[in-house]
Amino acid sequence: MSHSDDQHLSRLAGEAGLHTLRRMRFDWDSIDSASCAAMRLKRSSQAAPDMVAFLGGASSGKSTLFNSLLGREVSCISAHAHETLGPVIAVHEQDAAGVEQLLLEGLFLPGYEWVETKSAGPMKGEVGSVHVFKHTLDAFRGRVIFDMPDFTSKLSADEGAVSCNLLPWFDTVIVVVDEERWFDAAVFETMAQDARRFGPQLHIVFNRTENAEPLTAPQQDRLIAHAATVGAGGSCVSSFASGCGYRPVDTQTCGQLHRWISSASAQGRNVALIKHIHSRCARVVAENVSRKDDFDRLCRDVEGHLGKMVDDTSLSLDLLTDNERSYLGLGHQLLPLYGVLRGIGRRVSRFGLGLPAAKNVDFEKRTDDLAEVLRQNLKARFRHATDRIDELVSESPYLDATPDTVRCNWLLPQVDAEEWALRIRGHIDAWKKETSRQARTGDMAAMSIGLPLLLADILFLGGAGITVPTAVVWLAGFFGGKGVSRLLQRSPAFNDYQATVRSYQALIRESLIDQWQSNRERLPKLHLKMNDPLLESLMYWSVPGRK
Amino acid sequence: MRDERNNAESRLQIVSENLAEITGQEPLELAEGGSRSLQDRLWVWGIVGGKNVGKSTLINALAGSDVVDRGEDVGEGTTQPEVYLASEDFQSVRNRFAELPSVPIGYHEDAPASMRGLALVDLPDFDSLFTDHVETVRAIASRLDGIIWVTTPKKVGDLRAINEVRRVLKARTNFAYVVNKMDWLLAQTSQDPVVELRRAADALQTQITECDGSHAADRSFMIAARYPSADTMAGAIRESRKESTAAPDGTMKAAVDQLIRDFGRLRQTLTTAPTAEVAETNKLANLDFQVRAQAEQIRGHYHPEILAEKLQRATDEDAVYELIRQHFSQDYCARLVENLNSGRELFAEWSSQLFRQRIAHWPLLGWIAWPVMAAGGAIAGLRTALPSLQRDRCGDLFRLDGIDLAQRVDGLLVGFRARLARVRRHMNIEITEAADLENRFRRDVMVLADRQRSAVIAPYLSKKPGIVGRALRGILPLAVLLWFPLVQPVLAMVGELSLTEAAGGLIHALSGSNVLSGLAVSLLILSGLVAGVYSRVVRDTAAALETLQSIAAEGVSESLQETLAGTVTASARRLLARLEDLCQELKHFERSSPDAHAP
Repeated sequence: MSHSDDQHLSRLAGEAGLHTLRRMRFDWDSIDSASCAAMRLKRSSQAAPDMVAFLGGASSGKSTLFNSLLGREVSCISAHAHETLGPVIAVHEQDAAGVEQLLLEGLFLPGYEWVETKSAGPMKGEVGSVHVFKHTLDAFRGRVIFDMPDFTSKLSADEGAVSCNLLPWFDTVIVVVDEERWFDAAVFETMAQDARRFGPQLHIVFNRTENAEPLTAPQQDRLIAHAATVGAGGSCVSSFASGCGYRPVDTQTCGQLHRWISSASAQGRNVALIKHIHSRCARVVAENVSRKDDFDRLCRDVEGHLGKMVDDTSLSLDLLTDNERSYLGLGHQLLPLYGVLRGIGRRVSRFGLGLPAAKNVDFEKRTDDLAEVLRQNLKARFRHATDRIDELVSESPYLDATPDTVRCNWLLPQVDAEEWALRIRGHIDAWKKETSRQARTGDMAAMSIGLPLLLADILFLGGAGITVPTAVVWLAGFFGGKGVSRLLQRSPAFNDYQATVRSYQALIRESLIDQWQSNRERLPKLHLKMNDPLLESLMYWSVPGRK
Repeated sequence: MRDERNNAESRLQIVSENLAEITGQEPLELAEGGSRSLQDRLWVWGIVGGKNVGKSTLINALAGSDVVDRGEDVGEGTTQPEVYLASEDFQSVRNRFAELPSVPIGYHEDAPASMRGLALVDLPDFDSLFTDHVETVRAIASRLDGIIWVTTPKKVGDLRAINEVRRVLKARTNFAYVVNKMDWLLAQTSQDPVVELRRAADALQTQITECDGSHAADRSFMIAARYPSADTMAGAIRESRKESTAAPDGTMKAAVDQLIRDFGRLRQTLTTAPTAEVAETNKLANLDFQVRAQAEQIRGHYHPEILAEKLQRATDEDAVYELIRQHFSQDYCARLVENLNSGRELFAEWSSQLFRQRIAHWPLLGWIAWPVMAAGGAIAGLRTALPSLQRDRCGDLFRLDGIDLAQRVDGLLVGFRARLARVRRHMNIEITEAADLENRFRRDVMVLADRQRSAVIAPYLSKKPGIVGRALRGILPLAVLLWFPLVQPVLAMVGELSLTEAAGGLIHALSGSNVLSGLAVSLLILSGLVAGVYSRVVRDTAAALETLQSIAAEGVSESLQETLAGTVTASARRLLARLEDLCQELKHFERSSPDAHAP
C-alpha cells in the first residue's frame, strides 16, 4: 500500500467528496462510496478480517443458517417476513476489539454504530447500527459473519436497502434462496449481478422447507446448473427440519457452510473492487471532461459573439438621420452644383413649383433628438446582445443536467446620453464646417471652369451649343464632388466622429463583457475544476491497471 | 354512458398521440382491451401471484379436483393461462380473449353449471426469471374483471409484487388479496397461533395499503389451499411441528378454523357469479378506473400542464409587448410613419393631383395649363429615371436609430426565442421567418401611411364647387376668351358707327391685329386664372401637409405593435390552445368517471 493510494481513496470515500459528487449530480451513489471505503480497509489494514454475509429474500432462512453456525439463537427468527432489520455480526471475542477499532477509525462500515447487546435474547438488528455477537468458536477466527436484512420487501427498500449498500464489504456472500424464490428474478438477476460487480465469492443455498421428500438427482442437477449460470462458486440444497422455533439445519449443510467460510479469501474481491472503482471513476471523469468541454464551448461561443455583436454595425454614419446625411453632402454626388440647385429650388418652392429644397437641419434642436436616438440605440443593441447570450446559455448542453431555468442577470449600462449627444454633435458641427468649405472649393472649381466656357459659348457660338459647356460643368462638378466626398472620409473631423462612435460602442461591449463574467460565475457548477483534489483522486483511480 | 366509456379508451389513445406529437416525446403505450369486457355478461377472475405461491393449488382446491396441472417442483411451473369455466360459457370466454398476440390459453370446461357466467383464470407467475411469464400476465390483465392477488407469508410485502399490482388498472374494489400457505406459518411459530395470524393479517394490510391505499378487510383472505378441511390441516401442522413446543390445542384449532372460514369466504366470492347489475357496475368501475389512471399516466408522462404553463409564461402578453417595445418603440413607429408621410415628393404628388382635379372644373383652362402640367410630368419622369436624383427611400427609411429593420426583427425574434428556449427544448415550435416578419412590417407601415395620407387628402379632393361656382366656372373662361378678341372691339365700334357702317366697321373691328391682341389679352387673363387655381391648390396642399404632420401618431404604433405581437406568437399560441384543449380533455376523463362502487 502506498501513501498516495490511501490519500486518494480517503478523499473518494470521505463525506466531503461524496457530497461534492452528489451535488454535481454525477451518477455516484452510496454504494460506490461504500466500495471505496471497503478498498481503504483492505489497503490500510493488513489484519482486516474476512467478511462473510448471509443474503437473500424475505423469510428465506438467513438467520436460521446464521444461528445454526453459531449453535444458538443469536439472530431473531420468526415466520414473518422482514424480521431482521439491520446487520447482526458475529466476531470472535479476540477479534472484536480490533474490528471495533477499525469501525471507530472509519475504515469499517463508516457511519454505523457499534452495539453490543448485554441481554441473552435474540437480536433483530436496527437500521444504522451493527449489532455484535462475540463468540468463542476458533473455526471462525479472523472472520466476521453478517446476518443481513432481506432485499426483496418494500419495507427494507424503504429503510435504505442496507443489504445492497453493504455489498462491497463482503468477501463471501452466501445467498439463501427459499423454495418459493428458486427462480426469483429479484434474487438471481439483481442480486447476483450486483454482487458480481464487487467480486465476492458467491455461494447459494437452496432451501427446502415445505416438502420433506428429497429431490431427485435430475432436479438437483438442474438447481446446481442454475446456480452456476449466475456465477456461484458453490451451491447446496438444504432441507430445513420442520417444526417451530429455532432449529439447526442438517449437518451436511452446516459442513458445507464451514468449508465455504474457511476458504473465504479477499483476493478476488480486491481485484473486482479495484475494477469497479476504476470504471466508476472513469465514468465520472469522462462526464466531467465532457461537461467541462460544454462549458468551455459555451464560454467561447458567448465571447465570440460578444465581440461581433456590438461591432456588427458599420462604424460610419449610423447615428445620423437621412436629412443630416444629405445635408452633409453624402447623399448625392453633385456636390459643387448642389448649393446652386438648392438656392434655386428654395426660391422656386416658394411658388410651389416642384423641387423643394432640402430642409435645413436645426442642429441645436437635434441634440435632444440625438440623445434620444442614442438612448434607444443603446437599449436595442444591449437587449439584442443579451438576448443572444441568453439563448446561447439556455441552449447549451452544459445546462441540460439542471432541471430549473437558468437566467442571466443583465443591467442596462448607465450612459449619459446627453453628454454623448453633445460630443457627437460637436464632431458633426466641425464636420459640417469642413464639408461646406470643401463644397465651396468644389463650387469655385466648377465655376471657374464652367463660367468661361459658358461665356465663350454665348459670345462666340451664339448660345447654340449651350449643352456642351453645361455638360462639361456637370462632369467637372461630378468628379469634383466625388473627390471631395472621398476627401471628406479622410477628414480629421470624420475620424474624430468615428473614434467617438467606436468608444461609445466599446462602452456597451465592456459592460456586456463585465456582466457576462459575473453571470458566468453564477451559472450552476456542474463540473469540477481540473485541479480539484477530488477530480485528481478520480483521475488517479480512473487509470486501469493501477495496483 | 356506456358508449362514452367505450370511446374513452380510443380517445385517450388519440390524446396521448397528440401530446406525443406536440412534445416530441416517445408516445406512451397504453393498455387496451378494457372496454372489451363490457361486450359480454361474464365475470372473469384472474389469479395472479408470484412463483410457487400456490395459484394452481388454489384453483384446484376451488374446483375440488386437479383441473390444472401443478407442474413439476423445479422449473417453470404454469407457463400459460388456464381458464376454468362452465362449458356453456366457452364461446364468450373465447371472444373475450380473442386477438391476444402469441398467448396460448388452456380451457377447462368442467366447472359445474352453478358457475355459469363465471370464469377463473390461472395465470403464470410475474416475479421469476422467466420474463415471458410476466409479459403474458400484463397482456391478459386488461381483459380480466377481477384480480385475486395470491401471496404467501414469505412473499407478503415484496417490492416487486407491490409495483406489479400498481400496474394493473382495475377498480380497487375488484381486487381480492389472498395469503396462501398459512399452515406453514402456523407450523413454524412458537407463539400463540391466533396472535400470529393477527400479525400476518397486519402484514397483509400493510401490503394492501401500499398497493392501492385502501384498507380492505373484507377483500383479504388468509388460507391454506392445500388442506380442504380443518382436520387434515391441523394434522399436518401437528406433524410438522413434531409437537415439541406445540401451542395448546384450543388456540391452534381456533387459528385453523379461521383459515378454513376464510377459505369458505373466498370460495363463496369466487364461485358465485355476481348478478348482472353488480357485474355491470363493477365492470364500469374497472373501466372508469382504467380511464382515470391512464389519464393520470398521460399527465405524468407528458406533463402537459407544466408545458402549457411554461408556454403561457413565454407568450405572456405583457412580456411580449415589452419585448416588442424594446425593438419597435412607440417613438420609432410614430417617427417611421411620419417620415414616410413627410417626403418632399408628397407635395408634388398632391399638388399635381389637386391641380388636375380642380382644373377640370374649368373649361379651356386645362388647355392653357397643359404645357405646365406636361413640364411637371417630364420632371417627375426625369426624377424617376435618374437614379442619382432619386432618394433611396426604403433602404434608409426604416433605419432611424442606426439599426436596420432586419436587425430589429432579428432582435425581436431572438428575444422571443430566448423566452421560448426552455419550452422549446422539448417542444417543436416554429417561429415566423425573419424575412416574412420584415416584409409584413414593411407592408403594414406602408399601408398605414397610405391610409393616413389618403384620409388627409380625401376632403380636399372631394371638394366640389357650388351652383354659382359651377356657373361661374362654366361661363367665365368662355366669356374672357370671346370678350377681348370679339366682343370688346365690336362694342368699341358701336358708339362711333351707324348701322349702315356696321358691316364695314365690324370687319374693321375684327381685323387681324385687333383679334390677335385681344386673344393675347384673353390668354393672359386665363393664365392668371390658372395661376390663381394653382395658388389655391398650393395653399390647400400646404394645409393638408400641415394636417398630416399634426396628426398624432399614437394609434399607429399600437396597431403596428399589435400585428407584430400577433405574428410572432401566432404558432406558439396555436400550440398553446391545442395543449389546453388536450389538458381539458384529460381533466374531463379524470373527473367524469364516478368513484368505483363497492360490489
